Parts: sequence; structure tokens; C-alpha cells
Amino acid sequence: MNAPDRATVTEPPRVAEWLVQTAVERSSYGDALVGDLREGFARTLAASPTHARRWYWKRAISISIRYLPSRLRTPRSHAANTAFTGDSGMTIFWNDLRFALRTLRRTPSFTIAAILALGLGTGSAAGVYSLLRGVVLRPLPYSSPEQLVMLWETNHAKALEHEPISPVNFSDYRALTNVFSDAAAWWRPQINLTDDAGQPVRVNAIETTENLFTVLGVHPYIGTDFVVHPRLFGPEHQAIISHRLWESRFAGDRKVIGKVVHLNGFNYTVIGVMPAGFSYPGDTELWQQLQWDLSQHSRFAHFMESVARVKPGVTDERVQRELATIATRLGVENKASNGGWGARAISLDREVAGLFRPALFALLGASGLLLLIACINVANLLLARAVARRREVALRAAIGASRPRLIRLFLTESLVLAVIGAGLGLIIAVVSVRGLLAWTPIRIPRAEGVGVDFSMLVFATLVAAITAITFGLVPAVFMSRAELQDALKDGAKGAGTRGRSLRNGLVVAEVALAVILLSSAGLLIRSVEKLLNVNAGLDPTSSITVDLQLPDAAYRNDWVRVGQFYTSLADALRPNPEITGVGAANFLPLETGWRLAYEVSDHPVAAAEAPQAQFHIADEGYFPTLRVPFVAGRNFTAHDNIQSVPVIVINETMARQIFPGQTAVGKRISAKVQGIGPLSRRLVKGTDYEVIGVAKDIKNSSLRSVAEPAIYFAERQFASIKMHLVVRGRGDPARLATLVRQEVQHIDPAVALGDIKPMDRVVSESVDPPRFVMLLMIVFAGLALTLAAVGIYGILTFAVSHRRREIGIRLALGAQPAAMLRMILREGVGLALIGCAIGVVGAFVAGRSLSGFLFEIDAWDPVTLGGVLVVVIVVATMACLVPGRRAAGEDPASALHVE
Amino acid sequence: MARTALGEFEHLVLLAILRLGDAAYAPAILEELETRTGRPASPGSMYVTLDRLEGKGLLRSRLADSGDERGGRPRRYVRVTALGVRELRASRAALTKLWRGLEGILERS
Repeated sequence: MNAPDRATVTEPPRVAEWLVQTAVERSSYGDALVGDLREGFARTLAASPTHARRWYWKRAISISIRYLPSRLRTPRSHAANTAFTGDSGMTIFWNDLRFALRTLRRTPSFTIAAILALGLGTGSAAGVYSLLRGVVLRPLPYSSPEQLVMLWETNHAKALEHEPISPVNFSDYRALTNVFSDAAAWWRPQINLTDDAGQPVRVNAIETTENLFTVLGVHPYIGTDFVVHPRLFGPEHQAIISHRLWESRFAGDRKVIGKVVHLNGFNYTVIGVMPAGFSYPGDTELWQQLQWDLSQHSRFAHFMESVARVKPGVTDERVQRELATIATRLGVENKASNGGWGARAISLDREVAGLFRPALFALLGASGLLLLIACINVANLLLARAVARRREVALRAAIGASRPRLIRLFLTESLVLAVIGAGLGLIIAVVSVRGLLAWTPIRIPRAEGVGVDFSMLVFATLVAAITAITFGLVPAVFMSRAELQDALKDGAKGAGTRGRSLRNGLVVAEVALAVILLSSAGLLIRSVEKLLNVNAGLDPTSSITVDLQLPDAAYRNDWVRVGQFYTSLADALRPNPEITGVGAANFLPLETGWRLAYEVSDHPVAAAEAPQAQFHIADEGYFPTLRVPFVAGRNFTAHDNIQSVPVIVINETMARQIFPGQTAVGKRISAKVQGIGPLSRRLVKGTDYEVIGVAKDIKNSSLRSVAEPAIYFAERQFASIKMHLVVRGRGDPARLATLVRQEVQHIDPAVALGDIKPMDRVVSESVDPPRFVMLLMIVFAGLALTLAAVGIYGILTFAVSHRRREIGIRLALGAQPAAMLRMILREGVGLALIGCAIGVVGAFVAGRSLSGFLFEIDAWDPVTLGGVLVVVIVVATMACLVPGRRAAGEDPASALHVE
Repeated sequence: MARTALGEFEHLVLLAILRLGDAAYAPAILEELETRTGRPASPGSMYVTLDRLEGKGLLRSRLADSGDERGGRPRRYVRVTALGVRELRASRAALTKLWRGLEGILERS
């Protein structure tokens, strides 16, 4: 809740005071009682406003519970339910309330339908808004978060819009002191944490410039921040840990400060613990102080992320301009490394929410439509009821109820509906938001802080209440005296033509809105299905991946040992009967490898013109385990080792681009760079690598785009400390993981297993945001369709019972029952068709606004739209059948006797 | 009006009022009850009991103006009437009679 907790609060909670006043209104000393509470509140306020509010509410509830029953008991009769007696306003209100509850209980199907519609409408709107607020709109918990931006490098020629930045370039961006007050950068070495406590664990760690927390404006919960040196790095081995790691690994012991832990085999001193909930960037559990000089690194290496604080008053446009200027200058000064590269800043909150920002806005729109449908449904129900109650109203008026009195009576009824509906909405919002966050396999950013937002519930309830009240008053307001007399004379016969055309219009609107939601859901389902069916170039079934990273201290620069670890692990796993394939690569499918320059031997080019490909490392088991076929040549073997000729495998795209119409196998390629990342063995510049095979493409940037050119180095020749093991087997994923864990333990107990996940999850994860929108959209569309069907059913049932006499006469005069059924169907399906026609236009607009989530499908997709229309018409027909059958089965004799 | 025996809570409230003398108004009574009996009393029950006791004629109320913190609302001071005192006395007499001879059983442990 957003209860303000300000020192300026001096008034007791208004709702609570109103409650007490209402409860004690008729007691002789009510005023003194309210005064007592005020006095007590003023005293408790001195201690703490929150405490005082709680104190007040407790009293208010205790007192109203004791006083309300006597309040409700007072008047026994409802003054013949009509006459305006001399009672005070409050008495009338209570009488009306009791009367309304009784009436609603007498027509349970109407009451339940109305309350359900209101509850679903308000609940879903409040639920989605809560998510939007928690994930997107809620300010980040840093000081002045609106000033924070993330910096990325771009290269339009290579279609790169969101690249990590080079440490040297970072130093240049940070020097833009006229726009940035400061900037911090980090990279993510996956590290193993060991201490005296027990098993080594893999932790998400970043090695960061010392000023990260200063830039964000957060401070350690206990302990101290890094000391910021002028060049943002220092020789001390210091680390700060997250609150979660502190609790899980160190049992929340304050003595952790000063404790020495081993990170990748080196000793680090824990100097601080961050506050609970802080894990920026991403799910970071440990922040290591940067150990090296940014300016001494390479402009070629893009591997750092960066956050900068924009000076107050500096516009986004100016930031982008200054970044562009410096990037252009760097491009001229360092043509080889920086030519063609630019830089851009993206506000931190957008960056954190990512695709969930447009996703949640789209869903908010959808839930708004659903709320609208719900309101229309309630309006429809109330109108039907109003016509049905004409006689009752007329009778009341005849025995002396004034119009204001009648209005008040109906108003109370509507209010009761709205309040109960809103209560249900609250429950739905709370349960659905909690349930969604607890059960969804989809990773939603900032999910941990999402709470139900009550402001939206209040808004949705207001909309619902206005609907209920407006349409609830129709019978009292729109009936003139003359009409009332007719109503008395004629009974139900032929009444309410005016009401009916209004209701028909509402049903049409309902169907149209349902078509919009259904087609949005349909488009998303088809897109997600297409995305999931995209051939990523591998067979992700019954296989898992396990991240492994060898501790630096024992393995760094001992590449023979690194290679031995991975080969002996694979060799140990392979004979296991439960395992059918083992392989390893340093990047998973859909992950982007190092984008680096190379040249074809015998065709030397200037560095700036050198083509670029993704560099990957894989072993001989990788392609067979993922069932990636070879187009030409051969796979690596165990003989492609450090003693033999350096070899590579390239992907099909690269073969096609670089060696069109030729055989790629046997060609030689050399890398234009040396020194890839600190995780892998250094490439020796000038070494020629022979292409021995061409593998089918594995998607290496996203499912949506074609594979980029890729070069695979042999793991035995170019080892990496960090690898993703891929294991295919007959057992379930957990069993496979256990087998891997046992072998790793056996070979080197100091190595911790990182992330373990099924291979198909690796592929489907990238489809998460559209799938998230799709799932909720399906729910909304289903509800919309149900509500629309209830609407059609309601209006036809009503029409049939209303026209019993007419139907009876027709049947008596020889009309076929089937003709009666046709008549009803015509009426219902006709309304549905008009609704469909309007809905199709809306569906197109909605589809366009979803285009960011659509894949290989138009907003104007005839298959989807056709399917939706068929569904709507089938459902509409079914909704007509029950009342239609009733009309057809009417007994003429009894129908004619009606009134 | 038929004479009815005092309920336990009514009994307690009347005694608290007597103890407070001129300063007896609802918040003070609640506080007195809590400090003397060692457990908090429900404010709702207390107000309803005050109204009921006044209805039975066992106490009388007097409204007095008071400070700003009450939003201009009066304070209701209560005083036990002569009838109230008689009731209390009767209650105590009844209780004492019932107690007689039971001390041995009830105070043993």
C-alpha cells in the first residue's frame, strides 16, 4: 500500500473516522466518543504516525463492530418499502441497504453474474497495473534514478545497436564531464566462491570500477564501500556481498566483515554487505574491486557494461549528441578499432524493464478493454433487470414513493453491487499477481518488489461503480409517470423497446471488444508458436547444459591443465549408459560469440576493412551432441590437439559469404587480434587456421535473425577456463545434472557447478516476453469471450421471456417451433455479426500496437482473424441456443395466459 | 424496571469509574482497567457498557468542553449514581456470600 508515512499527518485516517461516526451516529454520546479517539490519536501521533494510524484503525474496528448491529437492527419494517417517511437520511440509507441486500439475494443469478463481471474487470485491471507499476513505473531504488543511464556502443554497419563497451572507450566517455557527473563500468567474470564453510559455489559476480555504488547512490548495509582511487582500480583484494549471499552463505553474521573468502582461488576480504533487495546489475551477489587499469586495455575488446549519472538539467538529446561527437573523434583517431563505432545512452529504468515495458503497457490496454466489457455486461444486466422491474417500480410509485426515494433505492442497490464486485476484484488482483509471480517460469525483472497497487483498484472500482450507478438508476430516472401507469396496466407485455435497442448496442460493443482481445491473443499465439518452431539449428530435446568455470588460481595460464580438465570430464561421462552425448562450447546457442576481425590467408586486408565473424570454442562432442549436421568436411577429433595443425570449423553462413561457389574446406584463415578475454588462451597472431569442416548454422544472436558468420576453434587447441557443458541423455534433467556433479567432484572438488538448465529452456527463454504477453492475453480474451457470451445469452433470454405472448400466438396460429428457434438465432447471431464487423477494425489497430511482439505475422493476419470470427460466431450461436430452444418449446396455452 | 445483577465487565467498569473520581472519562477508564486488571479491555465493549449502565441509571454523564486535539468535540465524564453504588454493594455482598467457605479450595494451589 502507499500509505503516506509523513511527519505532517495530523488527521486520523478519514475512512476509519467515517466508519466510527456512522456506527455511533445514533448513540447519545457519539460525538464524545469520536472526540476520545481524536484525542488518543493525537497522543499516539507523537510516537510515530504509522503506529497512530494503526492504533486508530484498531479502535475504529472494535467500536464499529459493537455499534453497527444495533444500528442495523433499529427499523423493523421498511415503511411499506415505498412511502417517504419522516425518517432521517441515515435511517433511509440503512433501510435501503437492508432492502437492497434482500433483493439481490432473491435474484442470485443476476447478482452473481454482475459481481463476477465487476470483480474480473476491476481485478484484472488492478493486477496488470500492479505489475506495470512494480516492474516499469516504480522508481529504481537509487538516488535520483531518473539521472541514471546505461552506455552502449553501436555499429550501424554491422547492425549492432546494443554492444558492451571497450574499457578504453569507457574512460573517454566518462571524461565527458559537461554531461556526466560520473560513470562506472564492470564486467562479469563468473567466479567460484570457496571459504572454510563448505562446498564451493558459483556466484554471479562483477568486477567493477570502485565508484559503482557512488554513481548509483547506494551504500552498504553494513561495512564500507570501496575506496575510490583516481583511476577507479586498486591493488587491494576486496569484495562486497549481497544481502542474499550474506544470509545464505554467512547466516547473516555481522562478523563477515573482514572475513577472507577465496574467489577463483584468490583471497579477498569482505568489506561490506549491500542492503536487502540490491542486486544491480541483474542478479549480482558479489562485487569485486577492479584490479586492472581500464586505460591500459584494448579499444577492440567490447565486454564492459556501464552506468553513468547525467548531470541535472542535461537533456537526453544533449547526452546523445556529446556521445556521438566523442565517438566520431575516436573513430578518426583510432580508425582500426573505432571506425564505424558509435555510442548511445539508454535510461536505466528502460534498460532494466526491457521488453517487459511495452509488454505490460500492451497488457494494460488489454485489461482496460476487459474492464470495459465487464462494465458493459453489468450495464446490460442492470438494464434487463430494470425492464423486468417496471411493474414493481410502478407499484411503489402508485402507493406514494417519490422519485428521489426510488432513485435512492436503486442507487443503494448499485452501490452494493459495486462494493462487493470491487471486493472480489481486490481478491482477484492479489491472488493473480502473487500466483503469477510464484508460478510463472518466465523471469520477470524486479519481480521481487511487486505489490498490489491499490490506486488502480480504486480507479477500476470507480469506473465500475459509475457504470453500476448510471445504469442502475435507469428504471427510476427514465420512467415518466405516464409510462409507469402503462406499466401497471399492461404488465410486462411489450414493454421496453427503448431499453432494448440500447441493450442491443451494448451487446454489439461487447462482441467487438471481445474480437479485439481474441485476435490480439491469436496473433501472439501464432507468433510465439512460430518463434518456438524456428529451427535454432540444434535439437534441444532431452539434453541439458551446465556452466563450468575453473578457478583462476589453480588453472590460469596452465592451458594444458585446463584442456585436461574438460577432456577428462567428457571422457569420464561418455561411457555412462544413461548418457548418449557429451560436448562443450564456450558460448551456448543463441549467445553471441566474440565478434572479431579475421582475414583469409593470402588475401591480407587493412585492419579496418577486415571481415568480422563470431569466434567460438567447441570440442569434438559439441556438434554431435546437439545433432548439428556438417555440410562439408569433418568434425574435430581428439587428434586435433596442441601438437597438430591448428584447425577450425566454420558455419554455413560464413562459408557462403566468404567462399561463394568454392569449397571452404582446406582454406586458411587467421585472426587479426590476439588476446581474447582473460578466460581463454591467447590466440597467436598470424597463426593460420585450416578450415576442416562446415557445420549447419546454429542461431547465434536471436531466434528472429539469421545466424551471423561464425568460426569454431578446437577446444584442445584453444582452451577456455569457462565452458558450457552440453549433455544428452535418456534420464530426466535432474539425473543428468547429478551425474555431471559427481564427475566434476571426482576430478576437482574445488570446481563449482554454475547454472544448470534443460537445453530447450535455453531456446525458449528468448521467447519469454512475447510468451508472457501471450499467456495473459489468452486469459483476458477467454474472459472477454465468456462475458460477451453471457451478454448475448442474457439479452436473448430476456427477449424470449418478454415475447412469450407473441411467441405463443404465433405457435397457436401454426408457426413451426423451428421457425421460432430460427427467429431467436437470427436476432442473436445478427448482433454478433455487427459486433464482429466493428471488432475487425479494432483488431487491426490492436495488432499494429503489438507489432513489437509479432514474428513473421501481420497485424492483418487473415488466418487469425478468420479463426477468431468463427469462434465468436460459434459461441454466439451457442449462447442463442438455450433461449431459442425455450422459445421453440413454448406451450401456446400457458404462454397466452401470461398476465 | 426489574433489578438485574451486574455483569463482570459492568462491575469492573463501575469500580474503575469510582477509582478515577472526577477524572473518569472513557480513555482514562480503559487505561485504569488495563493497569489494574493487567489485560487490555476492548474499547468497543467499554463504550457499549457505558451506554448500557447509563440506561440502567447506574451512572450519569456530563459533557464538558475541551481542547483542540479533540476537534471541538466534548468530553463525556461519567459518575456512578447512588443506585450504582447500591448495585455494587449488592454485587459484592452476593459474591462474598458465595465465597464464604471456599477459600480453602480456591486458594490452595
